[in-house]
Amino acid sequence: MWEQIAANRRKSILLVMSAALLLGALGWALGVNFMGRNGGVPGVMLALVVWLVMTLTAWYQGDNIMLSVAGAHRVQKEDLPQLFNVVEEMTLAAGLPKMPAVYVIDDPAPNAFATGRRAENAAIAVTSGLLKTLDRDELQGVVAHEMAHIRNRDIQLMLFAGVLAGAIVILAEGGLRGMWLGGGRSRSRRDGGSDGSGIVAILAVVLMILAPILAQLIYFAVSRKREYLADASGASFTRYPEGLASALEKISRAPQRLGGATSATAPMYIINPLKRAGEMAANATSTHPPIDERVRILRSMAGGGLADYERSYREVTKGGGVIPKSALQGEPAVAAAAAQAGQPAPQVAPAPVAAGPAPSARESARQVDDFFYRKDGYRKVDCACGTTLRIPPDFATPAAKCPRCGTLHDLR
Amino acid sequence: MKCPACRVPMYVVEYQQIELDLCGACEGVWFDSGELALLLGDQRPLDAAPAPTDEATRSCPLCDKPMDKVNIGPGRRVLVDRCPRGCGLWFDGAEVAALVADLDAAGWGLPAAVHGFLREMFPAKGGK
Repeated sequence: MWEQIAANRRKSILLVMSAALLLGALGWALGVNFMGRNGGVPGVMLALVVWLVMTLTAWYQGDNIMLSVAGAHRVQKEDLPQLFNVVEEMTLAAGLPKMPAVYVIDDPAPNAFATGRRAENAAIAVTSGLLKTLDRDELQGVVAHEMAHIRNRDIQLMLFAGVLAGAIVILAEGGLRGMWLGGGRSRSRRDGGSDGSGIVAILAVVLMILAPILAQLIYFAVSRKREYLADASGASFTRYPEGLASALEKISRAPQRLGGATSATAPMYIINPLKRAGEMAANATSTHPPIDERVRILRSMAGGGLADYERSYREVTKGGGVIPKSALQGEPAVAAAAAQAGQPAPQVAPAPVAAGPAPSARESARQVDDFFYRKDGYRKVDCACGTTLRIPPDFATPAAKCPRCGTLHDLR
Repeated sequence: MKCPACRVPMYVVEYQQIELDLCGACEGVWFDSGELALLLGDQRPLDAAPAPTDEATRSCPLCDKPMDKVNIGPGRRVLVDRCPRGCGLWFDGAEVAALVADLDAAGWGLPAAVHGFLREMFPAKGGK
């Protein structure tokens, strides 16, 4: 596991360097194009300043920005006890130093993401649709997947990758717009065009068009690989891959589309919120691997360990592995380890469920709705016939009728 | 959430841990797809192709897309509005009672608990 994180760190550095090179090249091209021969260095400086400001903003405010763009609200244990229990259990299973803050988004589309700059101050957000759609094992699978993103330091990597891609997109768009408006050297040709500025201009335009695409591809490629790794680690936390498999299926089949997600934040979610069922084909522009492949890998696992995932991944994709070798050596498959010890392979079982009966789907749906009714200032009216009426603060009529018994409840 | 017909804020009624949104003005009812899933478990009985009609098009109270008109129920006689994105179903004031009457006449393969819920929540008597 720790090796896997070290591998992530090496990849982060490589990614930051290659994207930084791209950024520098773009800055140089912009500088030369708009400021002439000697503009290269100031151009690079400008690009670095833009990137630095964005990185610092993301480092200190990225999680808050992400949570507020997504419309997430912080909840406490008494609001959603079931969700809290699952998060507590998975914090322990993942070995995180501190339980992430828990947020809920009032949106019928089931989805989830994790964010934060390190494991000590991470946050995990789920939609109300997720809580209403999934049973406890499935919710545990999703939370474990998000914990894996925190534990594997993906949240940090994605924050950096996202900012780099964002800085490149902003600079390139700004540059292209500047050229449309006629600010480029290629149009003005004040130097008589004999200094090769025409070629520079063409190169600059090509770079301005290609750089954002390249940056996004780097971002998406990183994000895709992270998803497999988070599935693998998540399954190893719950030792019950079926929970996550079934959850992924349900989430991908849900008809609703998530509001409050943009192409910049899409890679953060457990399932790409911008695509609907049927549009899930994978290619270089996918932020996530295809769902049916993720589900098939999880379902073909012989046990709940990382090595089981690796074996299943190779079988399903017919390709190379996804988990670094060094990480696998530290953790033998459950089935294999048991066989070595001369014992029958243990059944893959759900992680221990907290004491007390798990609330039914209807009950947990009401828990999350009640939270938002309280937050939004709804008034609760209990009708004698057994129904409960909830009146929004902007309700215009002075009375509300119970449809069941016909009682008119005076609201004044 | 605003009524797709009258555009006034709706209130929520909860019974047997199922929630529906009601309009106080026109007595129309919004069945959210999440609540339909909790109630039915399976939404296949609601599959129907959009029907041609002169009724005014309404917008989904959640996603604001124009809703399809579909005939549902055992006799396919109840014309309701369905969100094309799957947010839920909208019943005009008398339509739930019409559906319940249809259900009373022919079973339509809905679980007894669902039928019972609808009949209790929307008694099909004249006292509305």
